[in-house]
Amino acid sequence: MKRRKQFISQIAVTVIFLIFMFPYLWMIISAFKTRMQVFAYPPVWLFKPTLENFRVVLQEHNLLFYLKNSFIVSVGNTLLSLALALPASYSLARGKFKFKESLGYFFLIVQMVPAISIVFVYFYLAKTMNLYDTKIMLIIIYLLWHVPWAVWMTRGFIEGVPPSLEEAALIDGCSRFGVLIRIILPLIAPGLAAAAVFVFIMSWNEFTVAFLLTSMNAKTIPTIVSQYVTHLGVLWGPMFATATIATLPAVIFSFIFRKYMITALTMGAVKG
Amino acid sequence: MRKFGFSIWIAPALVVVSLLALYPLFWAGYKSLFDAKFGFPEAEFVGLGNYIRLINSQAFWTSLKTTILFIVPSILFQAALGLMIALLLNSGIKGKSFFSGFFIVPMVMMDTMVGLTWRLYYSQQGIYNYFLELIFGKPIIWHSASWALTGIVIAEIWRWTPFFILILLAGLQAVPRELYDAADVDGASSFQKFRYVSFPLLKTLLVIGLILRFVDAMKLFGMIFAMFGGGPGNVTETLPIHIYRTTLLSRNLGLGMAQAIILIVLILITGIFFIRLLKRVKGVQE
Repeated sequence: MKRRKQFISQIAVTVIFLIFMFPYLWMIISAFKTRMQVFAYPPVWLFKPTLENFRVVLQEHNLLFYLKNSFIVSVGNTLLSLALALPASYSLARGKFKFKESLGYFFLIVQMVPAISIVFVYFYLAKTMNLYDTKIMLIIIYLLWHVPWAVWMTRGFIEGVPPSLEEAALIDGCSRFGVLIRIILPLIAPGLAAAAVFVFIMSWNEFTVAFLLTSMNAKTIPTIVSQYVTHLGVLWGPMFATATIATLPAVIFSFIFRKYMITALTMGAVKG
Repeated sequence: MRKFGFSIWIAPALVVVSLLALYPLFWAGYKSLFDAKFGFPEAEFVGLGNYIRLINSQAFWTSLKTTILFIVPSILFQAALGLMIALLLNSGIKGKSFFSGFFIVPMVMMDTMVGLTWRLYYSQQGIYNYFLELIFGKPIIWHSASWALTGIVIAEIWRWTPFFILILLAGLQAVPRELYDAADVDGASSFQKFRYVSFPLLKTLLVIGLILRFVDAMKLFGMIFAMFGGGPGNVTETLPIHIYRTTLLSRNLGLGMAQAIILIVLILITGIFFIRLLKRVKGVQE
Protein backbone atom coordinates (compact mmCIF):
# COMPACT_ATOMS: atom_id res chain seq x y z
CA MET A 1 0.00 0.00 0.00
CA LYS A 2 2.69 2.42 1.05
CA ARG A 3 4.89 1.42 -1.90
CA ARG A 4 2.06 1.89 -4.34
CA LYS A 5 1.43 5.38 -2.99
CA GLN A 6 5.12 6.15 -3.33
CA PHE A 7 5.06 4.97 -6.94
CA ILE A 8 2.07 7.17 -7.79
CA SER A 9 3.78 10.19 -6.20
CA GLN A 10 6.90 9.51 -8.23
CA ILE A 11 4.91 9.40 -11.47
CA ALA A 12 2.92 12.54 -10.55
CA VAL A 13 6.06 14.56 -9.74
CA THR A 14 7.76 13.46 -12.95
CA VAL A 15 4.75 14.46 -15.07
CA ILE A 16 4.37 17.84 -13.32
CA PHE A 17 8.09 18.42 -13.68
CA LEU A 18 7.98 17.73 -17.41
CA ILE A 19 5.03 20.10 -17.83
CA PHE A 20 6.98 22.83 -16.05
CA MET A 21 10.12 22.28 -18.10
CA PHE A 22 8.26 22.05 -21.39
CA PRO A 23 8.00 25.77 -22.34
CA TYR A 24 11.73 26.18 -21.74
CA LEU A 25 12.74 23.01 -23.59
CA TRP A 26 10.39 23.83 -26.47
CA MET A 27 12.09 27.22 -26.79
CA ILE A 28 15.49 25.55 -27.11
CA ILE A 29 14.16 22.92 -29.52
CA SER A 30 12.53 25.61 -31.69
CA ALA A 31 15.79 27.51 -31.89
CA PHE A 32 17.22 24.66 -33.92
CA LYS A 33 14.35 24.52 -36.41
CA THR A 34 13.99 25.99 -39.88
CA ARG A 35 11.35 28.65 -40.49
CA MET A 36 8.96 26.09 -41.94
CA GLN A 37 9.42 23.73 -39.02
CA VAL A 38 8.77 26.45 -36.41
CA PHE A 39 5.35 27.07 -37.93
CA ALA A 40 4.52 23.46 -38.80
CA TYR A 41 1.16 22.27 -37.53
CA PRO A 42 0.93 19.69 -36.10
CA PRO A 43 4.36 20.48 -34.61
CA VAL A 44 7.46 18.63 -35.76
CA TRP A 45 9.09 16.56 -33.03
CA LEU A 46 11.85 14.89 -34.96
CA PHE A 47 13.96 16.92 -37.36
CA LYS A 48 17.53 17.56 -38.41
CA PRO A 49 18.73 20.46 -36.20
CA THR A 50 20.09 23.54 -37.93
CA LEU A 51 22.33 26.29 -36.60
CA GLU A 52 20.99 28.76 -39.13
CA ASN A 53 19.05 30.81 -36.55
CA PHE A 54 22.14 31.24 -34.41
CA ARG A 55 24.14 32.32 -37.44
CA VAL A 56 21.49 34.89 -38.34
CA VAL A 57 21.33 36.47 -34.86
CA LEU A 58 25.10 36.60 -34.47
CA GLN A 59 25.90 37.85 -37.96
CA GLU A 60 22.86 39.81 -39.10
CA HIS A 61 21.31 40.98 -35.84
CA ASN A 62 24.56 41.82 -34.09
CA LEU A 63 23.67 39.87 -30.98
CA LEU A 64 27.23 39.96 -29.65
CA PHE A 65 27.02 43.74 -29.36
CA TYR A 66 23.95 43.54 -27.11
CA LEU A 67 25.42 40.67 -25.15
CA LYS A 68 28.46 42.82 -24.50
CA ASN A 69 26.25 45.72 -23.35
CA SER A 70 24.28 43.45 -21.05
CA PHE A 71 27.49 42.01 -19.68
CA ILE A 72 29.11 45.39 -18.97
CA VAL A 73 25.96 46.77 -17.32
CA SER A 74 25.44 43.65 -15.23
CA VAL A 75 29.04 43.32 -14.05
CA GLY A 76 29.37 47.04 -13.37
CA ASN A 77 26.16 47.15 -11.40
CA THR A 78 27.01 43.98 -9.47
CA LEU A 79 30.41 45.29 -8.35
CA LEU A 80 29.03 48.70 -7.35
CA SER A 81 26.03 47.19 -5.57
CA LEU A 82 28.16 44.90 -3.44
CA ALA A 83 30.77 47.58 -2.72
CA LEU A 84 28.01 49.80 -1.31
CA ALA A 85 26.00 47.03 0.33
CA LEU A 86 28.71 45.17 2.17
CA PRO A 87 29.80 47.94 4.59
CA ALA A 88 26.15 48.88 5.08
CA SER A 89 25.10 45.36 5.93
CA TYR A 90 28.05 45.00 8.31
CA SER A 91 26.94 48.16 10.04
CA LEU A 92 23.36 46.85 10.27
CA ALA A 93 24.49 43.44 11.48
CA ARG A 94 26.98 44.55 14.13
CA GLY A 95 26.35 48.21 14.87
CA LYS A 96 24.30 49.52 17.77
CA PHE A 97 22.66 52.79 16.88
CA LYS A 98 19.31 54.51 16.92
CA PHE A 99 16.87 53.72 14.12
CA LYS A 100 18.98 50.76 13.03
CA GLU A 101 15.97 48.52 12.47
CA SER A 102 14.02 51.31 10.77
CA LEU A 103 16.88 51.88 8.34
CA GLY A 104 16.90 48.20 7.53
CA TYR A 105 13.19 48.32 6.79
CA PHE A 106 13.68 51.50 4.75
CA PHE A 107 15.92 49.48 2.44
CA LEU A 108 13.31 46.76 2.26
CA ILE A 109 10.54 49.17 1.27
CA VAL A 110 12.65 51.07 -1.26
CA GLN A 111 13.44 47.81 -3.00
CA MET A 112 9.71 47.44 -3.75
CA VAL A 113 9.39 50.69 -5.74
CA PRO A 114 8.08 49.79 -9.20
CA ALA A 115 10.34 50.64 -12.13
CA ILE A 116 7.47 51.87 -14.29
CA SER A 117 6.57 54.55 -11.71
CA ILE A 118 9.95 56.22 -11.73
CA VAL A 119 11.46 55.43 -15.09
CA PHE A 120 10.00 58.53 -16.77
CA VAL A 121 11.73 60.77 -14.25
CA TYR A 122 14.99 59.15 -15.19
CA PHE A 123 14.17 59.56 -18.83
CA TYR A 124 14.05 63.35 -18.36
CA LEU A 125 17.08 63.35 -16.08
CA ALA A 126 19.11 61.29 -18.54
CA LYS A 127 18.16 63.61 -21.40
CA THR A 128 19.18 66.77 -19.53
CA MET A 129 22.42 65.23 -18.27
CA ASN A 130 23.28 63.75 -21.67
CA LEU A 131 23.22 60.29 -20.16
CA TYR A 132 20.38 58.95 -22.30
CA ASP A 133 21.32 55.71 -24.01
CA THR A 134 24.44 55.16 -21.91
CA LYS A 135 25.42 52.08 -19.97
CA ILE A 136 26.51 54.11 -16.94
CA MET A 137 22.96 55.43 -16.50
CA LEU A 138 21.60 51.89 -16.30
CA ILE A 139 24.37 50.84 -13.92
CA ILE A 140 23.48 53.70 -11.57
CA ILE A 141 19.69 53.37 -11.68
CA TYR A 142 19.79 49.64 -10.94
CA LEU A 143 21.57 50.46 -7.68
CA LEU A 144 18.21 51.67 -6.38
CA TRP A 145 16.93 48.08 -6.22
CA HIS A 146 20.09 46.03 -6.04
CA VAL A 147 21.87 47.79 -3.15
CA PRO A 148 18.92 47.33 -0.74
CA TRP A 149 18.48 43.79 -1.97
CA ALA A 150 22.16 42.96 -1.42
CA VAL A 151 22.08 44.61 2.02
CA TRP A 152 19.27 42.31 3.12
CA MET A 153 20.87 39.27 1.63
CA THR A 154 24.39 39.76 3.05
CA ARG A 155 23.24 41.05 6.42
CA GLY A 156 21.90 37.61 7.24
CA PHE A 157 25.20 35.99 6.30
CA ILE A 158 27.20 38.39 8.48
CA GLU A 159 24.86 37.86 11.43
CA GLY A 160 25.58 34.15 11.05
CA VAL A 161 29.28 34.70 11.84
CA PRO A 162 29.99 34.33 15.59
CA PRO A 163 31.01 37.76 17.01
CA SER A 164 33.65 36.08 19.19
CA LEU A 165 35.87 35.62 16.12
CA GLU A 166 35.85 39.34 15.48
CA GLU A 167 36.42 40.27 19.11
CA ALA A 168 39.57 38.19 19.21
CA ALA A 169 40.92 39.97 16.14
CA LEU A 170 39.95 43.39 17.52
CA ILE A 171 41.85 42.67 20.75
CA ASP A 172 44.86 41.72 18.65
CA GLY A 173 44.75 45.25 17.24
CA CYS A 174 42.96 44.61 13.98
CA SER A 175 40.86 47.53 12.69
CA ARG A 176 37.15 47.19 11.99
CA PHE A 177 37.83 47.36 8.28
CA GLY A 178 40.51 44.71 8.67
CA VAL A 179 37.97 42.54 10.47
CA LEU A 180 35.49 42.93 7.64
CA ILE A 181 38.06 42.10 4.97
CA ARG A 182 40.11 39.43 6.72
CA ILE A 183 37.59 37.64 8.90
CA ILE A 184 34.04 38.26 7.68
CA LEU A 185 34.72 38.21 3.95
CA PRO A 186 36.35 34.77 3.77
CA LEU A 187 33.66 33.29 6.01
CA ILE A 188 30.73 34.60 4.00
CA ALA A 189 32.45 34.18 0.61
CA PRO A 190 30.02 31.54 -0.74
CA GLY A 191 27.01 33.61 0.29
CA LEU A 192 28.60 36.74 -1.14
CA ALA A 193 29.25 34.96 -4.41
CA ALA A 194 25.59 33.91 -4.48
CA ALA A 195 24.51 37.50 -3.83
CA ALA A 196 26.74 38.66 -6.68
CA VAL A 197 25.28 36.06 -9.01
CA PHE A 198 21.70 37.04 -8.23
CA VAL A 199 22.39 40.76 -8.62
CA PHE A 200 23.98 39.91 -11.95
CA ILE A 201 20.89 37.96 -13.01
CA MET A 202 18.54 40.77 -11.97
CA SER A 203 20.56 43.30 -14.01
CA TRP A 204 20.81 40.89 -16.90
CA ASN A 205 17.04 40.39 -16.99
CA GLU A 206 15.89 43.96 -16.30
CA PHE A 207 13.60 45.31 -18.99
CA THR A 208 11.53 48.38 -18.04
CA VAL A 209 14.37 50.83 -17.36
CA ALA A 210 16.62 49.56 -20.14
CA PHE A 211 13.74 49.69 -22.62
CA LEU A 212 12.88 53.33 -21.92
CA LEU A 213 16.39 54.70 -21.38
CA THR A 214 18.26 53.21 -24.33
CA SER A 215 17.80 53.44 -28.07
CA MET A 216 20.96 52.27 -29.81
CA ASN A 217 24.34 52.23 -28.13
CA ALA A 218 23.41 50.91 -24.70
CA LYS A 219 20.61 48.52 -25.64
CA THR A 220 20.70 45.36 -23.55
CA ILE A 221 19.46 41.88 -24.47
CA PRO A 222 15.92 42.07 -23.00
CA THR A 223 15.15 45.21 -25.00
CA ILE A 224 15.98 43.84 -28.45
CA VAL A 225 12.70 41.95 -28.45
CA SER A 226 11.15 44.56 -30.74
CA GLN A 227 13.86 43.92 -33.35
CA TYR A 228 12.28 40.62 -34.20
CA VAL A 229 8.86 42.11 -34.75
CA THR A 230 9.09 43.30 -38.35
CA HIS A 231 6.57 44.30 -41.01
CA LEU A 232 6.81 40.71 -42.24
CA GLY A 233 5.69 39.41 -38.85
CA VAL A 234 7.81 38.12 -36.01
CA LEU A 235 11.09 36.45 -36.97
CA TRP A 236 10.45 33.46 -34.73
CA GLY A 237 13.52 31.39 -35.54
CA PRO A 238 16.04 34.11 -34.65
CA MET A 239 13.86 35.08 -31.69
CA PHE A 240 14.07 31.57 -30.22
CA ALA A 241 17.82 31.49 -30.81
CA THR A 242 18.17 34.83 -29.01
CA ALA A 243 15.97 33.68 -26.15
CA THR A 244 18.01 30.52 -25.80
CA ILE A 245 21.29 32.42 -25.60
CA ALA A 246 19.85 35.20 -23.41
CA THR A 247 18.39 32.90 -20.77
CA LEU A 248 21.35 30.55 -20.56
CA PRO A 249 23.61 32.51 -18.16
CA ALA A 250 20.82 33.02 -15.63
CA VAL A 251 19.78 29.38 -15.77
CA ILE A 252 23.31 28.02 -15.37
CA PHE A 253 24.38 30.44 -12.62
CA SER A 254 21.23 30.08 -10.57
CA PHE A 255 21.45 26.31 -10.88
CA ILE A 256 24.98 26.35 -9.48
CA PHE A 257 23.86 28.58 -6.61
CA ARG A 258 20.44 26.95 -6.16
CA LYS A 259 21.20 26.39 -2.46
CA TYR A 260 20.84 30.16 -1.97
CA MET A 261 17.82 30.55 -4.21
CA ILE A 262 15.26 30.78 -1.39
CA THR A 263 17.26 33.31 0.59
CA ALA A 264 17.70 35.29 -2.61
CA LEU A 265 14.02 35.26 -3.57
CA THR A 266 12.77 36.26 -0.13
CA MET A 267 15.62 38.66 0.68
CA GLY A 268 16.56 36.50 3.63
CA ALA A 269 13.05 36.43 5.11
CA VAL A 270 13.04 32.66 4.62
CA LYS A 271 16.19 30.64 5.14
CA GLY A 272 16.81 27.92 2.59
CA MET B 1 32.05 55.62 20.75
CA ARG B 2 35.11 54.47 18.82
CA LYS B 3 33.89 50.95 19.22
CA PHE B 4 30.87 51.60 17.01
CA GLY B 5 32.45 54.12 14.68
CA PHE B 6 31.85 51.70 11.86
CA SER B 7 28.10 52.25 12.20
CA ILE B 8 28.58 55.13 9.80
CA TRP B 9 29.46 52.60 7.09
CA ILE B 10 25.80 52.47 6.30
CA ALA B 11 25.99 56.08 5.04
CA PRO B 12 27.19 55.62 1.43
CA ALA B 13 24.53 53.03 0.62
CA LEU B 14 21.89 55.05 2.43
CA VAL B 15 22.74 58.27 0.59
CA VAL B 16 22.87 56.64 -2.84
CA VAL B 17 19.65 54.71 -2.39
CA SER B 18 17.78 57.65 -0.86
CA LEU B 19 18.79 59.97 -3.70
CA LEU B 20 17.89 57.42 -6.34
CA ALA B 21 14.51 56.71 -4.76
CA LEU B 22 13.36 60.01 -3.30
CA TYR B 23 14.28 62.25 -6.21
CA PRO B 24 11.99 60.47 -8.69
CA LEU B 25 9.27 60.14 -6.06
CA PHE B 26 9.17 63.89 -5.46
CA TRP B 27 9.48 64.61 -9.16
CA ALA B 28 6.62 62.27 -10.03
CA GLY B 29 4.53 63.68 -7.17
CA TYR B 30 5.26 67.22 -8.34
CA LYS B 31 4.48 66.51 -12.00
CA SER B 32 1.23 64.81 -11.03
CA LEU B 33 -0.02 68.25 -9.94
CA PHE B 34 0.40 69.65 -13.45
CA ASP B 35 -1.40 69.21 -16.70
CA ALA B 36 1.95 68.21 -18.19
CA LYS B 37 2.43 66.65 -21.61
CA PHE B 38 5.29 64.25 -22.31
CA GLY B 39 7.89 66.06 -24.38
CA PHE B 40 6.52 69.57 -23.81
CA PRO B 41 8.04 71.83 -21.16
CA GLU B 42 5.13 74.17 -20.38
CA ALA B 43 2.38 72.92 -18.10
CA GLU B 44 -0.49 74.37 -16.16
CA PHE B 45 -0.83 73.79 -12.42
CA VAL B 46 -4.01 71.82 -11.75
CA GLY B 47 -3.56 70.86 -8.09
CA LEU B 48 -5.21 67.55 -7.40
CA GLY B 49 -7.00 67.75 -10.74
CA ASN B 50 -5.25 64.69 -12.15
CA TYR B 51 -6.22 62.60 -9.14
CA ILE B 52 -9.83 63.72 -9.44
CA ARG B 53 -9.70 62.84 -13.12
CA LEU B 54 -8.49 59.37 -12.19
CA ILE B 55 -11.32 58.79 -9.74
CA ASN B 56 -13.74 59.58 -12.53
CA SER B 57 -11.79 57.67 -15.17
CA GLN B 58 -13.37 54.47 -16.39
CA ALA B 59 -10.06 53.34 -17.94
CA PHE B 60 -8.22 53.71 -14.65
CA TRP B 61 -10.74 51.63 -12.68
CA THR B 62 -10.77 49.03 -15.43
CA SER B 63 -6.99 48.71 -15.28
CA LEU B 64 -7.15 48.45 -11.49
CA LYS B 65 -9.74 45.70 -11.84
CA THR B 66 -7.58 43.95 -14.47
CA THR B 67 -4.60 44.13 -12.11
CA ILE B 68 -6.60 42.43 -9.35
CA LEU B 69 -8.03 39.86 -11.79
CA PHE B 70 -4.49 39.13 -12.88
CA ILE B 71 -2.85 38.97 -9.44
CA VAL B 72 -5.36 37.19 -7.23
CA PRO B 73 -5.86 34.03 -9.31
CA SER B 74 -2.13 33.98 -10.15
CA ILE B 75 -0.85 33.98 -6.60
CA LEU B 76 -3.59 31.73 -5.18
CA PHE B 77 -2.92 29.07 -7.81
CA GLN B 78 0.82 29.45 -7.30
CA ALA B 79 0.44 28.87 -3.57
CA ALA B 80 -1.98 25.95 -3.93
CA LEU B 81 -0.01 24.21 -6.67
CA GLY B 82 3.26 24.98 -4.92
CA LEU B 83 1.98 23.42 -1.70
CA MET B 84 0.74 20.34 -3.53
CA ILE B 85 4.00 19.82 -5.39
CA ALA B 86 6.11 20.50 -2.29
CA LEU B 87 4.13 17.84 -0.40
CA LEU B 88 4.65 15.39 -3.27
CA LEU B 89 8.37 16.15 -3.40
CA ASN B 90 8.61 15.63 0.35
CA SER B 91 6.82 12.28 0.32
CA GLY B 92 10.03 10.27 0.01
CA ILE B 93 10.31 10.19 -3.78
CA LYS B 94 13.56 9.66 -5.65
CA GLY B 95 15.47 12.55 -7.23
CA LYS B 96 14.10 15.29 -4.97
CA SER B 97 17.15 17.53 -5.30
CA PHE B 98 17.27 17.01 -9.05
CA PHE B 99 13.65 18.15 -9.41
CA SER B 100 13.91 21.10 -7.04
CA GLY B 101 17.18 22.12 -8.71
CA PHE B 102 15.54 22.44 -12.11
CA PHE B 103 12.30 23.98 -10.88
CA ILE B 104 14.18 27.32 -10.68
CA VAL B 105 14.31 27.62 -14.47
CA PRO B 106 10.98 29.48 -15.00
CA MET B 107 11.82 31.99 -12.26
CA VAL B 108 15.16 33.11 -13.64
CA MET B 109 14.08 33.36 -17.27
CA MET B 110 14.03 36.87 -18.68
CA ASP B 111 10.40 38.02 -18.44
CA THR B 112 10.39 39.56 -21.92
CA MET B 113 11.61 36.29 -23.40
CA VAL B 114 8.87 34.41 -21.56
CA GLY B 115 6.39 36.89 -23.00
CA LEU B 116 7.63 36.61 -26.55
CA THR B 117 8.03 32.83 -26.67
CA TRP B 118 4.61 32.29 -25.09
CA ARG B 119 3.14 34.66 -27.65
CA LEU B 120 3.94 32.07 -30.29
CA TYR B 121 2.94 29.15 -28.06
CA TYR B 122 -0.45 30.85 -27.65
CA SER B 123 -0.98 31.52 -31.35
CA GLN B 124 -3.87 29.92 -33.22
CA GLN B 125 -1.70 27.06 -34.45
CA GLY B 126 0.66 27.15 -31.51
CA ILE B 127 1.91 24.30 -29.43
CA TYR B 128 -0.63 24.83 -26.62
CA ASN B 129 -3.55 24.61 -29.00
CA TYR B 130 -2.03 21.44 -30.41
CA PHE B 131 -2.18 19.85 -26.96
CA LEU B 132 -5.66 21.24 -26.31
CA GLU B 133 -6.92 19.76 -29.55
CA LEU B 134 -5.25 16.47 -28.72
CA ILE B 135 -6.85 16.29 -25.27
CA PHE B 136 -10.12 18.22 -25.57
CA GLY B 137 -10.54 18.31 -29.34
CA LYS B 138 -10.94 22.08 -29.29
CA PRO B 139 -8.42 24.94 -29.58
CA ILE B 140 -8.63 28.24 -27.70
CA ILE B 141 -8.18 31.66 -29.31
CA TRP B 142 -5.74 32.89 -26.69
CA HIS B 143 -5.27 36.41 -28.02
CA SER B 144 -9.02 37.09 -27.87
CA ALA B 145 -10.73 39.37 -25.38
CA SER B 146 -12.09 36.44 -23.40
CA TRP B 147 -8.85 34.48 -23.06
CA ALA B 148 -5.85 36.87 -23.16
CA LEU B 149 -5.92 37.65 -19.42
CA THR B 150 -6.21 33.94 -18.60
CA GLY B 151 -3.21 33.36 -20.83
CA ILE B 152 -1.16 35.83 -18.84
CA VAL B 153 -2.35 34.36 -15.55
CA ILE B 154 -1.25 30.88 -16.70
CA ALA B 155 2.18 32.17 -17.71
CA GLU B 156 2.56 33.88 -14.34
CA ILE B 157 1.50 30.71 -12.52
CA TRP B 158 4.08 28.80 -14.54
CA ARG B 159 6.80 31.31 -13.65
CA TRP B 160 6.24 31.52 -9.92
CA THR B 161 4.73 28.25 -8.68
CA PRO B 162 8.34 27.02 -8.28
CA PHE B 163 8.87 29.87 -5.81
CA PHE B 164 6.23 28.38 -3.49
CA ILE B 165 7.53 24.86 -4.13
CA LEU B 166 10.99 25.84 -2.93
CA ILE B 167 10.05 27.84 0.17
CA LEU B 168 7.38 25.34 1.27
CA LEU B 169 9.71 22.40 0.68
CA ALA B 170 12.31 24.12 2.87
CA GLY B 171 9.59 24.62 5.47
CA LEU B 172 8.47 20.98 5.31
CA GLN B 173 12.02 19.76 5.72
CA ALA B 174 12.41 21.90 8.81
CA VAL B 175 9.47 20.19 10.56
CA PRO B 176 10.99 18.07 13.34
CA ARG B 177 10.62 14.33 12.68
CA GLU B 178 9.42 13.76 16.29
CA LEU B 179 6.24 15.73 15.65
CA TYR B 180 5.20 13.25 12.94
CA ASP B 181 6.22 10.30 15.12
CA ALA B 182 4.12 11.65 17.96
CA ALA B 183 1.18 12.07 15.57
CA ASP B 184 1.68 8.47 14.39
CA VAL B 185 1.52 7.25 17.98
CA ASP B 186 -1.77 9.10 18.37
CA GLY B 187 -3.02 7.33 15.25
CA ALA B 188 -3.34 10.42 13.04
CA SER B 189 -4.16 9.99 9.34
CA SER B 190 -1.89 11.61 6.73
CA PHE B 191 -4.45 14.36 6.22
CA GLN B 192 -4.59 15.02 9.96
CA LYS B 193 -0.80 15.06 10.08
CA PHE B 194 -0.80 17.68 7.37
CA ARG B 195 -3.61 19.72 8.92
CA TYR B 196 -2.33 19.74 12.49
CA VAL B 197 1.45 19.30 12.16
CA SER B 198 2.77 20.64 8.84
CA PHE B 199 0.27 23.34 7.98
CA PRO B 200 0.58 25.51 11.12
CA LEU B 201 4.33 25.62 10.49
CA LEU B 202 3.89 26.45 6.81
CA LYS B 203 1.32 29.19 7.36
CA THR B 204 3.87 31.98 7.90
CA LEU B 205 5.83 30.89 4.83
CA LEU B 206 2.65 30.96 2.76
CA VAL B 207 1.81 34.49 3.90
CA ILE B 208 5.37 35.74 3.28
CA GLY B 209 5.29 34.14 -0.16
CA LEU B 210 1.89 35.58 -1.04
CA ILE B 211 2.88 39.13 -0.04
CA LEU B 212 6.17 39.01 -1.97
CA ARG B 213 4.44 37.63 -5.04
CA PHE B 214 1.68 40.22 -4.73
CA VAL B 215 4.20 43.08 -4.74
CA ASP B 216 6.14 41.61 -7.65
CA ALA B 217 3.01 40.98 -9.72
CA MET B 218 1.87 44.58 -9.12
CA LYS B 219 5.08 45.75 -10.79
CA LEU B 220 5.09 43.26 -13.67
CA PHE B 221 5.56 45.02 -16.98
CA GLY B 222 7.92 43.22 -19.36
CA MET B 223 6.14 39.89 -19.71
CA ILE B 224 2.69 41.37 -20.37
CA PHE B 225 4.20 43.97 -22.66
CA ALA B 226 5.95 41.33 -24.76
CA MET B 227 3.11 38.80 -24.75
CA PHE B 228 -0.03 40.80 -25.49
CA GLY B 229 1.13 44.40 -24.99
CA GLY B 230 -1.94 45.18 -22.87
CA GLY B 231 -4.28 44.12 -25.63
CA PRO B 232 -6.41 43.11 -27.33
CA GLY B 233 -7.90 46.54 -26.61
CA ASN B 234 -7.28 46.95 -22.90
CA VAL B 235 -7.98 43.37 -21.81
CA THR B 236 -4.51 42.79 -20.36
CA GLU B 237 -3.89 46.41 -19.41
CA THR B 238 -2.72 46.13 -15.80
CA LEU B 239 -1.73 49.25 -13.89
CA PRO B 240 1.93 49.33 -15.07
CA ILE B 241 0.81 48.98 -18.71
CA HIS B 242 -1.83 51.66 -18.11
CA ILE B 243 0.86 54.01 -16.76
CA TYR B 244 3.02 53.29 -19.80
CA ARG B 245 0.18 53.91 -22.22
CA THR B 246 -1.03 57.08 -20.50
CA THR B 247 2.43 58.61 -20.18
CA LEU B 248 4.13 57.60 -23.39
CA LEU B 249 1.43 56.77 -25.91
CA SER B 250 -1.16 59.38 -24.88
CA ARG B 251 1.63 61.75 -23.70
CA ASN B 252 -0.35 62.61 -20.57
CA LEU B 253 2.65 62.96 -18.27
CA GLY B 254 0.75 64.58 -15.39
CA LEU B 255 -2.00 61.98 -15.38
CA GLY B 256 0.50 59.16 -15.80
CA MET B 257 2.52 60.35 -12.83
CA ALA B 258 -0.64 60.50 -10.71
CA GLN B 259 -1.19 56.83 -11.60
CA ALA B 260 2.45 56.10 -10.82
CA ILE B 261 2.06 57.64 -7.36
CA ILE B 262 -1.07 55.57 -6.73
CA LEU B 263 0.78 52.39 -7.73
CA ILE B 264 3.60 53.27 -5.34
CA VAL B 265 1.15 53.94 -2.50
CA LEU B 266 -0.58 50.60 -3.07
CA ILE B 267 2.77 48.82 -2.99
CA LEU B 268 3.89 50.73 0.11
CA ILE B 269 0.77 49.64 1.97
CA THR B 270 1.50 46.02 1.06
CA GLY B 271 5.13 46.54 2.08
CA ILE B 272 4.12 47.78 5.51
CA PHE B 273 2.05 44.62 6.04
CA PHE B 274 5.11 42.63 5.07
CA ILE B 275 7.34 44.42 7.58
CA ARG B 276 4.82 43.89 10.37
CA LEU B 277 4.78 40.20 9.56
CA LEU B 278 8.59 40.01 9.45
CA LYS B 279 8.82 41.70 12.84
CA ARG B 280 6.41 39.15 14.28
CA VAL B 281 8.32 36.24 12.75
CA LYS B 282 11.62 37.58 14.07
CA GLY B 283 10.07 38.10 17.49
CA VAL B 284 8.99 34.44 17.56
CA GLN B 285 12.43 33.22 16.50
CA GLU B 286 14.31 35.20 19.15
